[in-house]
Amino acid sequence: MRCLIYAKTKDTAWLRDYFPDIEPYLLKIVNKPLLEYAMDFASLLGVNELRIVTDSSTKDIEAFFGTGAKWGVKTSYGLAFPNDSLKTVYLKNMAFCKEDDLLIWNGFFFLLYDQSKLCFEKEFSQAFYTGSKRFIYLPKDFKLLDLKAEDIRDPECLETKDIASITQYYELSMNILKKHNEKYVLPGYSNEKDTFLGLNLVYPHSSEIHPPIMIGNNCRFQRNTLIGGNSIIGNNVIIDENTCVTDSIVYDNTYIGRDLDMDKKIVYKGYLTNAENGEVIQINDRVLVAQVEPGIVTSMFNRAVQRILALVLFVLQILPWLILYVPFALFGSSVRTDKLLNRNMRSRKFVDSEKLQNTLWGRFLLRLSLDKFDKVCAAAFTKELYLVGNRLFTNTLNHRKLINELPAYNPGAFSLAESVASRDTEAEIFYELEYINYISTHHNLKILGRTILRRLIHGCAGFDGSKN
Amino acid sequence: MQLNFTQQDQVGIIEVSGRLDAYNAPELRAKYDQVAEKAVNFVFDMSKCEFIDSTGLGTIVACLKSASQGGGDIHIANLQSKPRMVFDITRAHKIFHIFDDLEAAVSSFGQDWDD
Repeated sequence: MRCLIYAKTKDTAWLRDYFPDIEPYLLKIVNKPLLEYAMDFASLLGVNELRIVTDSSTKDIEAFFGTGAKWGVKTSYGLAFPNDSLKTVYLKNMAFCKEDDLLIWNGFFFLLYDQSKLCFEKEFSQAFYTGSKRFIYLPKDFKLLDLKAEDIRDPECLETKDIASITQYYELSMNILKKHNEKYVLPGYSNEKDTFLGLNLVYPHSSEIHPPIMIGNNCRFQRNTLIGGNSIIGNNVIIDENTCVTDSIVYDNTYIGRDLDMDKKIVYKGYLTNAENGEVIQINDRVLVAQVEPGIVTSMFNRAVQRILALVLFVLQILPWLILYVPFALFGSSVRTDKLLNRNMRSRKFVDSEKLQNTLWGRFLLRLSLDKFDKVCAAAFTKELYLVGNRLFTNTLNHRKLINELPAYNPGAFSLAESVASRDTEAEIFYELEYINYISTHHNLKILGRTILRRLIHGCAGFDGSKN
Repeated sequence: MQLNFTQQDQVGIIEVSGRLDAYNAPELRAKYDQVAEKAVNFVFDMSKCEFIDSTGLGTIVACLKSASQGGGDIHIANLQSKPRMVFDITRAHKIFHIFDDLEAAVSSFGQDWDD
């Protein structure tokens, strides 16, 4: 069987007010893009080839689904003229459509189904279309144009749900979270009914999480927070102290300030929406709600300060490095490890502080931070590294995935995680999120000072991302 | 942002029009300080206020604090739906009396709130 998805933008204009920079068909319903539900359904029915046709750019959709190998469905892409009718799109893709039985997914809607009750032989024995012509099934050699009025049928196990307003979106998301979460493959792991948790979730004992709830990857809740029930929290979300989030949806890369009461709200970066009436304000206020973003990491002033400090550190370290480190490097074994410099997977070998800890002389070099000399040189004379930035991650598969999930990755010779001596690999991405969100030049200076001092006193390297 | 001051039944009314945000919140504070001697109780008429951020809200709270020290109070009238959301999430509705009618807000001063 084949499947044709017509992702037309006509149905999705309303979304621009609430989620301005999201590809509408990748809008998350309970932390999973809408089209992925269609892909799951197609996969469940044994569809082996699928084509997504859109009248806007296919770039984001293509980047997400690729060849469809993850779903076991060979996926191709097509373009339509704006506002093309379904019949036109069908004709334009006739070569694809005529080869096999065909499912047609027409426009922006959600398909409610229960996979345990889905009976393929019974429901898909003859051509049919649902009331709104959202969902159509055509056996091989049966043309779309041959559909007659009597072919209209709403199968028992399928129900199409329009998503035509923000309140419908909210109700649908909550409905799935509360009542139908067992019917779909949802992201996150679940060891308790109605609770789905993503990776790298960090929250203190004073924080409460109540089901039904879905939390994405790399989230941090500060002390005395109350999250849920009936809440959907996306990836890379920070919720600050004493804040309650109930009956709400918080989208990816969002910061929610302290002492707030979020009830029946949808928060997307700096956009705050009342889920009950659809009223939206673009607020982007660091005290209330804001986007987790790189901020000052990339500012000119910060770059200049970092470069000057790196040069000062270079001058201070060069003589001790020549006298103490070079002989060690000449006669000792290699202590260099491949580190990731950016998201394009560019890497370079740097001295690994974890390896240096194995010898007495190495631990002495660590106290003087001479293991940092090559990184300090890179920060002073190249644009590869900052003096203080994100943790410089080792080039492993896990870390390559991890840095792609971060809102920004600007690695530095010194990092927040090292300054607090974190060795908790579970929480490793959390420190990076915190660094990205709270960063300032003043904060950088504190990190630098604290790390150098801590090394001088305690002599340990701390966690610098060299673990896998 | 525009600020207009009027007086009714010894209650000062400050009408806030436009956006009350970090850029123009000091104007509200300056206006309040300027008229604070003319009345003890105030109503902030927000019928034409279309946006408020944390700094704007902080300024209203600072005005309330100042009014309280002088034995007065500040009531909010005609709060529109978008600014109301900010009052909602910050729990500011627990420190201000919010009215949907200016006359009611003005006449509410001096009334016994307990049944």
